[in-house]
Amino acid sequence: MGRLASMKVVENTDLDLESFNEKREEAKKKVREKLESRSYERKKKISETLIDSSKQMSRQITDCLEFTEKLNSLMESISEKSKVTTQNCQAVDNVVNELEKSSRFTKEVSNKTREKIISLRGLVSETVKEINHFVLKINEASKRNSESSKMIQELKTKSNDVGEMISAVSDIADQTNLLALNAAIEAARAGDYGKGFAVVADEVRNLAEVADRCASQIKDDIEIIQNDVGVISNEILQAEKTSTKQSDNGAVIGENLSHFEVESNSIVDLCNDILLAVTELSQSSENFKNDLEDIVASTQESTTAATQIFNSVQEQVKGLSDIQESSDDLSNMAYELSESASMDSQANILVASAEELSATITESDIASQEIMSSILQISQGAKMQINAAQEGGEKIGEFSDLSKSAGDMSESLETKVHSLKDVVQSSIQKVEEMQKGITKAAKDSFSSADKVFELEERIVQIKKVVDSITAIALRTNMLAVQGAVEAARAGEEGKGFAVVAADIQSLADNSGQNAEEIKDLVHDIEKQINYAISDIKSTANMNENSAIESKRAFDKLEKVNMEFQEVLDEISKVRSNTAGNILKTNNITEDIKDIVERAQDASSSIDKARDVATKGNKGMRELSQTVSVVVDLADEVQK
Amino acid sequence: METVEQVVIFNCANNEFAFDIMKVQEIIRYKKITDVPQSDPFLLGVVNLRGSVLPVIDFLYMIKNQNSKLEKNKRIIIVEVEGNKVGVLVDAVREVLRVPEDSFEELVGQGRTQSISNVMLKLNDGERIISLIDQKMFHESLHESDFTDEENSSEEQIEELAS
Repeated sequence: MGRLASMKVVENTDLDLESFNEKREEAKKKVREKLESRSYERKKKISETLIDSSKQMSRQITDCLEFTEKLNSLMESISEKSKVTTQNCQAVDNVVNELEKSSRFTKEVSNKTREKIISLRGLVSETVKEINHFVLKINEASKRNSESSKMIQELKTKSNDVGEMISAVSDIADQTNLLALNAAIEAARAGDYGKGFAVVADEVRNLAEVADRCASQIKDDIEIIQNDVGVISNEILQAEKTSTKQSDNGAVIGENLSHFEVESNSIVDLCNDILLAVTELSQSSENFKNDLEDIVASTQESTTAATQIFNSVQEQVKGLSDIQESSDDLSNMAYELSESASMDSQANILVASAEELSATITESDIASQEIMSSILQISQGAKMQINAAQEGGEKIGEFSDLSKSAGDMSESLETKVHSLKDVVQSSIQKVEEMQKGITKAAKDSFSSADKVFELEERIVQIKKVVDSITAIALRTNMLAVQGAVEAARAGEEGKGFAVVAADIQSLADNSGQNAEEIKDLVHDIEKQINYAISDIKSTANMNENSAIESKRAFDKLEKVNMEFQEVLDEISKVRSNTAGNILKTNNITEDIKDIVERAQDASSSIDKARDVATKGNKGMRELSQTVSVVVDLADEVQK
Repeated sequence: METVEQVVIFNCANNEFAFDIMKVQEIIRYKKITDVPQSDPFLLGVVNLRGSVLPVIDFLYMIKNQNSKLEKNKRIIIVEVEGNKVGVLVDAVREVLRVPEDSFEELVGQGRTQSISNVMLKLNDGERIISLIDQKMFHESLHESDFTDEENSSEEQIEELAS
């Protein structure tokens, strides 16, 4: 404008100089033409450059769009993988929770088993003491039985002695009888002289008959006693045998149960080991859960970053389309510019457009910077994930080993408890047998005592009969004296009677002496029988007590057996649990492997994404350069 | 009917018999009997009594035609048979009894037992019946033995032995 004004000033000062003016006008025109042609050249050149630039921009934008698309798809795959990993982690977490639950159960059962075994150990050792105690008693009873049997056997010899004595008495009675009969015959023959003596002889004969009956009664009794003694002594020997057998049984039980303590100690140790393993197991699962949390957190981060990238890419795409639009405008403008005479009107628009372009490109550039940093974030997350998953994998291996060893231990626990239970069961059977045996022995002993008591009654009977033999001897003696008197009265005729009377007297004396001796013997027997009765009874009582004690032991062992069953039931539950656990840990191991693989995939995807983003950045920078060229051009046009 | 004042009662084959006490010399325990060859079956043999040898007759054979078992608790009654002393083997000697006069009862008819006894002693209102041995019939029955061929020899033998 300034130039045009100065040109007017020149026109005003040179009025007459029309030709000059014309020339000037011509020159001016030439200059103008020259100028015009020059500016046209320039304009043409600018617009051509602009068109080129916009074309280049368009190409570059297409490139950038391609990169963003790639980036987008990569991000989508990362995000998808993250989702799966998160799901995996959740599933694994659930399984780990279950494992923890089962560990707690195992711990509980192991604790319970340990406590129970300890209490059962106490109970069993108490029972063993009791069994030993009554086994001693049974032994003693057995010894006593054999003594009683000996004592009863002695009764046999003693009663034999009585039998012999009684035979002597019987013989004497026989002799007396014969003597009396012959005396009676003699008396009859003597006629009147013999009458008095005949009476005496008859009476003596009667007494002799009674004495003989007494003797045979005692003989019968003695025979019965001897028979009974045999039976009783056999019975007692039987009881002794039973007792001995039961005491042997008791020794076997003691032996069997003595292993119990050792075995139960090893079970307690095993329980402790299991508890330790389970505690380690829960520690390990706790650690594993931390790793799992890390994985989830890093996955979350990755997902967030991926979303951010996604957004940034979206913005970038939008920016790029804006740029495309601006570039199209620019291109149109450039065409218009090349055809229009004046550039002035277009220049302003061009500048504005270029400035807008520049602003958009700056924004896009920022977005791509953001993408880059997000990618870095994802990459770090993926690395963390891989680390955490690898650590988790190691822990799961450890975990699996631990649960395997816990499983093995609970299996051997089951076997041990089972074999111990078998010991208890066989002991129960033995104790039951014992109880029955001892009860029978006690019963037999009682019945023996009763039988011995019957013997005593018989002995009392014999005593009475012996007393009457004594009385008969006394009476016979008196009759003999009377006979001697009668003989003396008969004078010469009675001489034979006097001899007979003396014979009768001596026989009666013999009989009386025998009776006295029998009395002593019988008294002795009676004493012995009383001893035997009290001995046998006390033995029977002893055995009866032992039977009661063995019943008690039986009840206790039965209780032990029942509790063992309970323990076994629980242990078998633990066993099935641990078997399931091993399977579950195997599944987890697989899951973790998947997670690691996926994280590695993601990591390589991210590397690709980084490449793409870098390339995108470069494209962006190139675009930016193009834009700055355009902006310069626009500035130039404006000038 | 023959009556006696006192009798010696003895047992044989669960029956009671009686000898007149005046014919009985004494009662001895069973002692070893020495066999006599070719003798009558009722003759058991001989025993030695204080130096004299006496024949011993099996009373069971006299009543039942059976020989007794020779047992220690048996008794031998020494009786006088028609002037000769003879031993009679019986199971046991019960008693010497004074017989009430009204207890004698004569039997009529024939039978084996009647061949040596035809009088019964009815004691305790007939609860206890005892055959009283007739000395004469007893003596005769010894001579009317089954072995008639050897009658003389056996009789001679007995008498010989008795003396």
